[in-house]
Amino acid sequence: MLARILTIVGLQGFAVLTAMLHQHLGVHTDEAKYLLNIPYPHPPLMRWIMGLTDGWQHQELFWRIFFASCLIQCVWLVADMARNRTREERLTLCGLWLFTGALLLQAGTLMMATITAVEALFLCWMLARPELLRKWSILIAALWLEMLFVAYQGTLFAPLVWLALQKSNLSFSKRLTVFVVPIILLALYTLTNPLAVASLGLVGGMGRGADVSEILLHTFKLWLIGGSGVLSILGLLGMIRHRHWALFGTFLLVTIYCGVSYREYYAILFAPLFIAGAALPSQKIASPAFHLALQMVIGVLLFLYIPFAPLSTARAVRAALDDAGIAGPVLINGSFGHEWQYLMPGPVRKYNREEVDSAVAVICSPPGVCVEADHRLMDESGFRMYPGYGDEVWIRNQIP
Amino acid sequence: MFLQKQFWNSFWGICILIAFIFAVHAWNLRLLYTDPTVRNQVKTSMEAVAEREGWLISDMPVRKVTRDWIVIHYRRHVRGPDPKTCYYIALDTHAISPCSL
Repeated sequence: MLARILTIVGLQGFAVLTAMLHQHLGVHTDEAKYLLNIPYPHPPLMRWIMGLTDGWQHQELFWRIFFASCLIQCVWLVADMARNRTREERLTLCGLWLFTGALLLQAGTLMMATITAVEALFLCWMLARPELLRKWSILIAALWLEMLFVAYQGTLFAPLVWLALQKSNLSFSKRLTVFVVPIILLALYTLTNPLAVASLGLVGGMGRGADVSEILLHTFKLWLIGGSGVLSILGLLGMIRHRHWALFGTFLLVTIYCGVSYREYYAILFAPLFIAGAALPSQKIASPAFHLALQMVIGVLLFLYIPFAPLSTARAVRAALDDAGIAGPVLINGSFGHEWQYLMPGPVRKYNREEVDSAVAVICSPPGVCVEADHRLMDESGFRMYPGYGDEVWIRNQIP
Repeated sequence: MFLQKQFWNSFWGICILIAFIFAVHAWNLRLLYTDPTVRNQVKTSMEAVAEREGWLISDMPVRKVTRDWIVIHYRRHVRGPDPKTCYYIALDTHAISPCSL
C-alpha cells in the first residue's frame, strides 16, 4: 500500500514537472484558444469548462497540471490492462507508456489531442474489462458523447466504440442508436459554428503542397514519437497477431488523419493504440528489461532532439508593459496568435492608425509590415521601439 | 439496475437537450448553408466589420442570418469579466448597430 502511495506521489511529481516545463515555455495560440473558450475549431465541452476558470490567476498552470496528471496517472489503467501478465511484463508496459516520446513531449501541454488520448486509453481499458462493459454499458455511451464533444478527432476511435458496444448487453437497435446519435449531435453542432466548418477545411488542407514522400515521412515521424519506436512496433505487432481489427482500423484512421492534418501534436493519438496492442494477451514481450531500456533511451532522445514550439513575443511584451506599469489596448499589424489575447492586460485589436493614440503598445508582425508613415506616427504619439524582439515592438513611453 | 436506468434516462435527456439547443441555432443559420449569395454576403460583411473595428473574426460568432442582416455576439476574449455584446450587421452597408436599440 505504501509503495502504491509513493508511486502515485512520484508520478504526480513527474506530472507537475512537465506542467512547469510547458508553463516556462509559455502559452501557445491553440492553448490560449482553449483557455479563453474561443469558439473554434473543436466542439465546446472541454474549452467551455476551461473558459469558466479564465479569471483564475494560475489558470494556465492549473490546467497544465490537470492535463499532465490525467496522461501520466493513466499508467494505472495500463497496469490493469496487463493484470494477467507477469509482474516484470506489467512494469515494462507501464514504463513503455511513461517513456513514450509523445507523452514526454506533450504531457503538460493544453491540447485537446492529449485529452482524446486519455479518453482513448480509458476506452481500451474498458475493452480489456468485458464484465464491466456488460454491466456498465452506459459508460461507453457517456464516453462516446464526451469524446465527440471534446474534439473532432474523437471520431477516429469509432471502430473501438462500436466494438465496445458490441461487447455490451445492449440490443442491436440500442447499440446503433447510442453509436449514431452522438455523431448526429456533433454534425448539428458543426452547423451552428461556421468558423468550425471553415477551420476543418483548413486542417484538411494542412498537408497540401507536400509531396507523398514528405507526408509519409511526417506520418512515420509521428508513428515513431507516438510509441518511441519500441512501443510502436510492439503495439502494431500485437494488433496484427491478435487480429484485433477494430484496434488496427482505428490505427489506420489515426495514421490517415496524421498524414492529412500535418500536425506533430497528433502523435499522442497513437500512444493508447500501441499500448492496447502491446497489452493484448498474445503479445508476449521477450526480454522486457531490454525493451524498456531501449524505450527509455529513444524517449529521452526524442525529448531532447525534437524542438518545442518557438516562444511568442507576447510574454516579453507583457513583461515590458508590467515594468512600465501601463495597461490598455494593444494593436497588432499583421498576423498573430490567440496567445496575445491571453497574455495582454487589455484588449487586442487589429492595427488601425486612427486608434494608435488610445493604444499602449503596437506590434508589427513580421517586422516590416509597418511602413515609414507608421513609424513616424508612433514616434509622434509617444511610442518607443524596443529592439531585440522577434517582432517590431513599440511601447508607449511613460516619460514625455 | 435502478441506478443504471437513471443514468440512461439522464443520457437521453442530455442528448435531447443538446439536439434542441443546436437545432434552434442551426435553423437560425440555415441561409448560410442553403443560399450561396447570402453566404458570400455574410463573409464579406464580417470581414469588412472586422477590418473596420479592429476585431477578430473568432470574437464575433454569428447567431442569426437573414437576407438583410445578421446578428453577432461580440466578445473580446480576454481573461476575467468579458461580457458579450449583441450587434446587427446590415449585409448591404456593413453598418453595425447594437441589438438593444
